[in-house]
Amino acid sequence: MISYLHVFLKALTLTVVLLLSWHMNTLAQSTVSGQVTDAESGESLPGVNVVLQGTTTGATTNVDGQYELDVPSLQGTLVFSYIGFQQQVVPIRGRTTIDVELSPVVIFGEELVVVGYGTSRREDVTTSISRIDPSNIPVAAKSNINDMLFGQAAGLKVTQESSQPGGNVDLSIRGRGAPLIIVDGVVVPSSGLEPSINFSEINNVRRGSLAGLNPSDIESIEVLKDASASMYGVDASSGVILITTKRGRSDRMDVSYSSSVSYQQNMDYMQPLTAEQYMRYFNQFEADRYNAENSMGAFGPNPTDYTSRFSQSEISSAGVGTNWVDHVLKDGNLTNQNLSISGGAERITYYFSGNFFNQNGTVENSGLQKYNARASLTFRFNDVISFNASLTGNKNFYNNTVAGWQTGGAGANSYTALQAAFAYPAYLSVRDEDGNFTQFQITGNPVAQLQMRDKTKYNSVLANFSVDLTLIPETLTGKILYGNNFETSERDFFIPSTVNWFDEYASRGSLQQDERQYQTIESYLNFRSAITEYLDVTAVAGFGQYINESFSFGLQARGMLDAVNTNRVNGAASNVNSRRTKNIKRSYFTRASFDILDRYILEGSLRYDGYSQFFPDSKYNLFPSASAAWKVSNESFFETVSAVSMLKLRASIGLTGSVLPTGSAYAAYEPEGFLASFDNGSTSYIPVVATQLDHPDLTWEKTIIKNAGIDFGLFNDRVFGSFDIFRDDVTDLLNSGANTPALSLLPRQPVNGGHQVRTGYEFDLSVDVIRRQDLFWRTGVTFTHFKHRWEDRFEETDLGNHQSVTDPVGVIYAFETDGILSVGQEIPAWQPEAAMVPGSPIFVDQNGDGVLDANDVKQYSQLPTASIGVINTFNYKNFDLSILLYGQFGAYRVNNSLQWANPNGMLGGNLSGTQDMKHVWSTENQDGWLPGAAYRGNIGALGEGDMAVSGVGTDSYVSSTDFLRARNITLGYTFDGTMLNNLVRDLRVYLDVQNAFTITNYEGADPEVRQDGVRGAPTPFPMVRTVSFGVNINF
Amino acid sequence: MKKVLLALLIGSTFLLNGCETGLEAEIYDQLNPTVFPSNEVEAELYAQAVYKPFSSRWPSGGYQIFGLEEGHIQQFDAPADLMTQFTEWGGFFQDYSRANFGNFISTGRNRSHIEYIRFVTRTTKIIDDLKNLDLFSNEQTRNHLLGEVHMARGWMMYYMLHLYGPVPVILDPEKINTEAEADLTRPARADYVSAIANDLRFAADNLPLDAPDYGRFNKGLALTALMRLYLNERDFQNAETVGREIVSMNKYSLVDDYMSLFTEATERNSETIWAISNTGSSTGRGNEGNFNAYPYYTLPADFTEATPGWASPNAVFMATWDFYDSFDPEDERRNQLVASYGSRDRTNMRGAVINKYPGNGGYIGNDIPIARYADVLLMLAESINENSGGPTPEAIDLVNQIRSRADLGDLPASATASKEAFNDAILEERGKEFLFEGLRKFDLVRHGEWPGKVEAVAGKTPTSTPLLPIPQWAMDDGMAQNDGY
Repeated sequence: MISYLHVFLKALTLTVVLLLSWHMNTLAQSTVSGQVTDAESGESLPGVNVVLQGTTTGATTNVDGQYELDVPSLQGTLVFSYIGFQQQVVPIRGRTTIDVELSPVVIFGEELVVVGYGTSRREDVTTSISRIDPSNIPVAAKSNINDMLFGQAAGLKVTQESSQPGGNVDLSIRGRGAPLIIVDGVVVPSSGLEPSINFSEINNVRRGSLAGLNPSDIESIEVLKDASASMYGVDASSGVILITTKRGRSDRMDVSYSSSVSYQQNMDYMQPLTAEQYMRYFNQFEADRYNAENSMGAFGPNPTDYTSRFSQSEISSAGVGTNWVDHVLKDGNLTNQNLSISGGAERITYYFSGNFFNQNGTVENSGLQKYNARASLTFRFNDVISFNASLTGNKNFYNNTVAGWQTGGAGANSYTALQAAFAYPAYLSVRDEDGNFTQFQITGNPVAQLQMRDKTKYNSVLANFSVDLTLIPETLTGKILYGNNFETSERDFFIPSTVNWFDEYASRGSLQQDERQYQTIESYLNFRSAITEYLDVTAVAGFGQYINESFSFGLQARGMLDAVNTNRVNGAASNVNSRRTKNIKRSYFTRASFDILDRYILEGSLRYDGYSQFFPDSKYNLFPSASAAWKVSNESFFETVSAVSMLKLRASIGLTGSVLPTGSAYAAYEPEGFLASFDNGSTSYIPVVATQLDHPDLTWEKTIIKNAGIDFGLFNDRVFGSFDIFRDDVTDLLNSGANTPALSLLPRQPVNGGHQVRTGYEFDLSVDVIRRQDLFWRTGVTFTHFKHRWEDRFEETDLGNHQSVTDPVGVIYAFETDGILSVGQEIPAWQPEAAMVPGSPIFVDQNGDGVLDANDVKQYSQLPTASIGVINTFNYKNFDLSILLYGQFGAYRVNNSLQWANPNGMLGGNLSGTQDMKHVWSTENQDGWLPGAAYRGNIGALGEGDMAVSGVGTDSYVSSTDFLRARNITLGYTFDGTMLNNLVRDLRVYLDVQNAFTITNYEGADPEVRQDGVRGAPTPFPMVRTVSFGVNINF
Repeated sequence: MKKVLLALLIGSTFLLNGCETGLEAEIYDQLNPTVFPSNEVEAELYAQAVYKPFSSRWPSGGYQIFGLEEGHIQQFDAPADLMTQFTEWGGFFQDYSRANFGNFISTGRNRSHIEYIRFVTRTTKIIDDLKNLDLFSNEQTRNHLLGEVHMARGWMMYYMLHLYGPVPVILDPEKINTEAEADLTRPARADYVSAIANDLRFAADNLPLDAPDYGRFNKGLALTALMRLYLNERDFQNAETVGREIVSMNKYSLVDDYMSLFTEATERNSETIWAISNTGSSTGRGNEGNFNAYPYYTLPADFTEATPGWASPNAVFMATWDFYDSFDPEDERRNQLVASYGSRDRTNMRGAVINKYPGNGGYIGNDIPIARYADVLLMLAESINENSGGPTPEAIDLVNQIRSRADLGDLPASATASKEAFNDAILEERGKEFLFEGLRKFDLVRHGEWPGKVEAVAGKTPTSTPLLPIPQWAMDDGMAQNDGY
């Protein structure tokens, strides 16, 4: 806290000093002259406006592009502006002659887009590719590239899976799985590398891919959404994200420094009950349940003999009690420092950067320290050969959070500290009279649990070397690329013997190290030529090999000395593990594009891919694609339509594939990890069991992607955008866990089968609402809609009577309910036997046949019908303001964090409840909409024969996850160099609020972050609001 | 120059070529069936996999017959007449405790004990492989392993018979990996029972009296399991024959102190024929040894005499007050029950606390006896009574041996007055002797007391059949449902 206040004050002082110096102008009269030329053609530009900034003093260039201007001093700044060219602001800095080159404005269609193995002008692209320019996205509070993508691209659904430091941001192109990620041509993993804790049931870490890169190093991000991904046939069925990093330019040396300090606080989260509230709710729920079970009081003929758990005097003296949650949640802060130097000389260009990111999270024991350095160099050996080398080294130190939940079947004995804080009732104090931590039921004391240590150390190196050949200038080029993405991650977990956790006071530790290496080897030739006046041809042909390796090992130990803990485990290890895997993919690829009359473009690609883990006859598959575009606006009949600056229609079809994420098609025996243990543990055997049979036919999963789209620019590109409509057919789906016949050796087998369909549309639209000299307002919208359903199921799938073959994928099946049954209320005839007691949800008979069965099961989609982003940017003089909103609408989910308000969980000692308890029905709260304590939820099997249904619950805890969030609101002010005595080229200060607000009706933790269903309930890391103050300086 | 470079580039493009060769799978972490098992040690590791269902761990990765959840206690003791219902946690805990199995129709694949029919196929495969492997130094080693695998197969089929009735199984290795794996036609009971008897007989003839490691299957266990099979089929002739075979081995005798059978220090003794041999430090994960965590399930969360259990206010497994009251106060076996502690007693507890395994801490090392000589003696008494048309002095003496060990006098004359009276007395004696040992449901069914005696317990709503329902998915695959569902 002290240190970042210190930085803040320093920055403030600097700002004030600079502001003062800006006003100390001297008064005198001088003349500045020079010539303005076109940066591209070198021709002189007549008619260019030259204005002394902040004044009306100005001049215009003559036919030779020359100007002359009288100025009061040589300390001002000249602004050069000309239609069709980028405005340029040049500090005079005492000079009397200033020559300026103006660059043409990059109009929308001219923008270069990175495509598979090359680049293309946007107007020539025949497929659906979104380009994200990160330069306008505030990076202050962002440690990961994925953090920058919210709402930025149509068709890219971005979801904050966890808000812990470095937390995972889930990327999905058009509702598909994790996309293939390629950084400067090198394949990198699309999931995080997170070692597990060997024996604990803690599920707290949820971090994502790209942890080893620095968001500030990114030049552009392209999202390949349709058949454009076919060029990356290997594992490209979920689409491709191409990340291009910054490189040096030869014309000048740029030094940039940016620094920010941020303050973080948790957004709306579940609120615990006070001691008094806890006791009242407990008595109420227990009385209801007791009376219902014994037909007493309001629930039956007999008078109640229930005696309250908490007496009136206990309740009246309870007060607020301990706020356990306050012991675990806190405010956080972070600082982010970035320095980059780029430039070039005759034969060399370079880019160096360094980043230090230090975050103290908003949950106790959570944090991230990130150190990142990057060097990228290009050597032009001669006109034919140049070498590119880049190296990124990264080290992340994580304090793994105590938010989260326990795994699978474990109970309240293995709650995380934050869960425990919602399990401990407020009437308990942190310590008892003897100074020992208090104990509630089987859950470890939340404050004591903060003594547990859980750290991860992550190292990564991304090395990239290429030889670029210019064989025939502008016509034939080639590239040989080697890339290596190597990561190791080491998790160190320790429970001291002073902490009760998982029913024990015992020192327990786990060390686990995972490493993985992705290697990319590629070589390819690019050809580009105008064959005739009417035909341009571009072509690519190449070869690639992709080698993925992993190795992990770890140990668990117990009984170590607390003071030494995992720093020295010698002889105490009780469990060890290791695993090494490798797989290779190989590809041959080619693409050709024909541009006829600059109006009709036809493109085709072929990729032939092999995967080592399949049988020889199933290894290889061909992935073709074809696409076409018609540049309507280049037709002669369109020349008169001046309002439309660009109009292009395009269509594409392509095949992409994916393979088993792990494992192979080959039969295997392996140690099962389940000991045959005898002689009171002194003799153990590690049985070896068959885990898979040979599956010679197992092969690639294939996705046919069809897309049709339109790109347009209107009114001199004041309005531009794209609209796309698509359909994916996923066939031969790979299921590594398909059912087998009931009497076969193994319960599961990998198979190909089934057929899924994704359909949808998306658009992005950008409108320059105001384009004036001193005021600029651009508003942009991205919109994504998709559906995902089955067309055919796997043969091995069991479908319930309430399911149909073509149901949506991942849908929630539940009985709709309509409020809660009150005492004395008439019970519908179809109400299940187990839901007759007051406090039960009232079931809805959808088809009105008076029977509750498979026909009455309702579907709740977990997929949003709309994912949107709305970006507004304003520039007024030197001020800039941007507001980014994103949201998802139309999806539902099982609201597991609302289970903290489950009355039976409270009575069972699993939880102490939250303020959401006010929604629980009781005899004293008959307006409550959550089921009461007497309802036990197990409705068993309903219906008869073909309409029999079992295992389907109610929608009582199914919630809409609609939300709209203000991702970033950023206000900046830019000082140009003259304002600052030319100490710097420019300096921008800004204030950024990330997650300023969320609009949602969701009860529980947060509609976006993941929260699994567990015994008790989960406590995801709360969403975090971050206020940052930052400065960017370009020297 | 340029052309040389071009050639180089193209050369390198197809350098790693040969087009479709050289892309073999590289698998480091698994063995291939062509190289496994390759020696006697590996063959033993291969055979050892059959112990998994007969161990005690948490149920992740498959249920165990003797596991804490959905193991022999929950399957055969909770749904009977000696233990209370348990409603605190709802779900399957409540259903088993109420002997109400209807909801288990919806149990999914891989969550259900019916999955064990697959275990039978696996043991058939292992038996076939062991028979054909040409790597044993002597036939004795091979036959010992075969004995263990046959024991596992027969015993599993026995438990399946009493969970579901006769179920389809593959006993012929020729049928593995064929269409026969999908044929779920249920076999005739007689055929199924005789297959079990064959397996257990083979095991009894090939297993040693003392296993090489304590806790591995032995001859006495195979014979006890065979005796139980015959007894529960009401084949009292064969039961008596096998019982006499066990007695004549002169290997086993009753210990003096009943509670010492369940105490860690004296868990290996002359009476325990076979027990789950536990590792004291095990917390029940697969990579640890067998474990005993019954205190978590038998002690209430506010228990003061030892580390408390998990459930509140009542424990998962409790003995009914009626059962507690049926003990003679002199009966040493009542010491496994606790009627009061702190402020808790019969006015505010659903039943008496079962503290069968004295120890401190949730994870205790006490072995879990599965087959005891006392059971052999009482089964023999019951068989003789049936075969001789009434109690013989020998049969009465067998029961009195058990009573005497519990510090009780001989059976009253009324209990030996008729075949029926003696039979009832044996059932009652068995209840007290074997509480919490996973035998009660067998006994009630054999004595025709299901569901009568269960219905009499407060809150229990037994299904009409003692068998579990065949889950829906198995019915969809062609397995016939049990009567009563």
